[in-house]
Amino acid sequence: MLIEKMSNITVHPNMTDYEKTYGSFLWEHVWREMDCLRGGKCLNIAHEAVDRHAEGTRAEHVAIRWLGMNGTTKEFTYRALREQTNRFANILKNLGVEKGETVFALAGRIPELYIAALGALKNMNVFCPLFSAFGPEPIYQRLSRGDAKVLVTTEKLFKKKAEGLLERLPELKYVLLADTSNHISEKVLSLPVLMQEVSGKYIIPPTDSTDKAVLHFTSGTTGMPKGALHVHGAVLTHYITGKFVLDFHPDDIFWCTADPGWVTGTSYGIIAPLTHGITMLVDEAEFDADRWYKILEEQKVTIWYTAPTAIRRLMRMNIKPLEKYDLNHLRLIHSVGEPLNPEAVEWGKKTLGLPIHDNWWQTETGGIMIANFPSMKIKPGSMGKPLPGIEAAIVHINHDKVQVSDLPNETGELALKPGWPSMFRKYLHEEERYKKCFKDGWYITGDLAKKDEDGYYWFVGRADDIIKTSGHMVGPFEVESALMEHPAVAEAGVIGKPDPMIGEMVKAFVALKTGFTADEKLRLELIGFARTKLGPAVAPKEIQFVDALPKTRSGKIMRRLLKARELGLAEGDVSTLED
Amino acid sequence: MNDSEIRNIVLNHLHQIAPEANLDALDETTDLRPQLDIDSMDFYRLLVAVSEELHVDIPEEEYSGLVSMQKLIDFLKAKITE
Repeated sequence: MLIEKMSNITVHPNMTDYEKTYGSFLWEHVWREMDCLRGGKCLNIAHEAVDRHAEGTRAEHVAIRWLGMNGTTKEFTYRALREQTNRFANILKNLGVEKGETVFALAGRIPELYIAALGALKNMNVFCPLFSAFGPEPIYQRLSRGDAKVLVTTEKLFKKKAEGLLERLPELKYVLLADTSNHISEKVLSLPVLMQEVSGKYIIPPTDSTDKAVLHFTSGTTGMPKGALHVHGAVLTHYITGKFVLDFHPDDIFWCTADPGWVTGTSYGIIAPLTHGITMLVDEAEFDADRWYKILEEQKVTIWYTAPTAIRRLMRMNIKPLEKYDLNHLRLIHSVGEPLNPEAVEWGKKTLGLPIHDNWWQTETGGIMIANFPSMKIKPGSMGKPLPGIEAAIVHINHDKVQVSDLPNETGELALKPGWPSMFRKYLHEEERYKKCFKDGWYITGDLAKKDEDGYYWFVGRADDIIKTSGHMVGPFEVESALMEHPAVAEAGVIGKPDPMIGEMVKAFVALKTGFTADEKLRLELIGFARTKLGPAVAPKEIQFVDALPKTRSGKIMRRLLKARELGLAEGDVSTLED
Repeated sequence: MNDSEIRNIVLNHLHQIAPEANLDALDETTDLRPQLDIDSMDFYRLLVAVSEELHVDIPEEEYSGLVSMQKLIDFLKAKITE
């Protein structure tokens, strides 16, 4: 089925003719829409996002409106944001943090997080955000693999999750606490004090579009998380997807509900809206249905980018939102994170008067790649069509040879032609893993999909064991490794158990060492143990004891089989299963 | 059903979700989520479990008002006596 759009739209989409734009699009043309540092090809994300507007007619326009958990509001105009991010860049410069070195942030959605991100990009450091609900172990893995030099965090998160890691992180030079008024030690410093001491003027050094900019960790099937590295040139993708997909216009109030700990919260919760000089909202609080509707109403949000899990929660409410809240300003709703079920797309149309536009991309792609565009009819349940400038295909891989499928509705691996500006440039320190993603001139996404006769893409599933829960990826290996550290655990296999609310729920199957009894007390102890190490976002919500885990003859746990058994499905090819 | 019986039921479900948490130290007047490190999915599971055990309906739109133990108990008590 197709959802037609209303004909009485008051704002004309930036892209009115998809086919025509796709046919004539060149990335070189997007360069012309950039300001660029002192002309030429010198491209810095923070200049495009902040300074160009602070130096122009948008200087007094609100860039970030921050809504605190307790009802406070803070606003930063583009001019103020330039001054604040300049100060942060000066702090890094004064501390001797050099070009290419990594600045991490571990914080809730506080203003300092956004200032740190953009300030680090100005100083040509690599910025890496961490989700604040991670436990100490995922934090350690990422700080260590990402060669952290500076960590920006809060006193509470530092004490609870990071202080105990410092001995294992000799390369970490400074911890900057956003909410202390005194320096704690030579290494642990007060960010407010430092911000006072430095100048609000900063000149961004010449930045090449291929200079390193943003690092995001994403989960792997077989190993620890991979650090996908992006460059300053990625801003071309952020900008053009803001224009073509999210459809930013100068007076828009944009709200991306994602946390910057995930790639959506950085690419679209920081960079893309600012490159368009519009106002973006940040809400510090966690999901709360009534609060969210009130924000949409009171803040006069025009474009809203959210996730299926949140939409499904809103669908549970026994209210008619349009009767209770004035959502007249809202003109576009987008969703990403996992496929949005057709019922949710239609619920949007019926309940909010607006269909929900699903799109697809991943950490490695840096920005939206396939989308239901505002000017295009929506097929509910489909991820849409490729962004202009992106060549996508359904492929079959045979001995490293890639064959492009030309049959409609045939399931295969979703692949993209490399070369778009926000493509990841490496997995940090893991060249082999990076190379494995590219075959025969294609980037293989790891997602299974199909393309219909009209050119719309449909998500089918993951080609590997990575778990997608509440829109983010969890690597089974990381969870299994943490469980294995418990003295009672002999082996563990972790899967994503389908869940109507969050897509998949992390579930662990555990076999115990001899001498331990599989009882309720131990099951709860293991859940608590995993939560303490991994944090609630990664730890298994369910643990089931088994006598032994199915393994291949070479000793690899067959998670696929665990999942099939969980679902009561046929077990498929078990020819490699050990006896 | 009195406060203490309702409290025990909620505590029992909280223990299932966050077994490592020291529930004796819970401040009943403030948001329990950050205190116990439970995310929005955990909180959702808690309310669904409690709602099933007590056979009371907890509409999604009420969730945000029920984040402290005291408010949750008050709400459940009122629902049970309805």
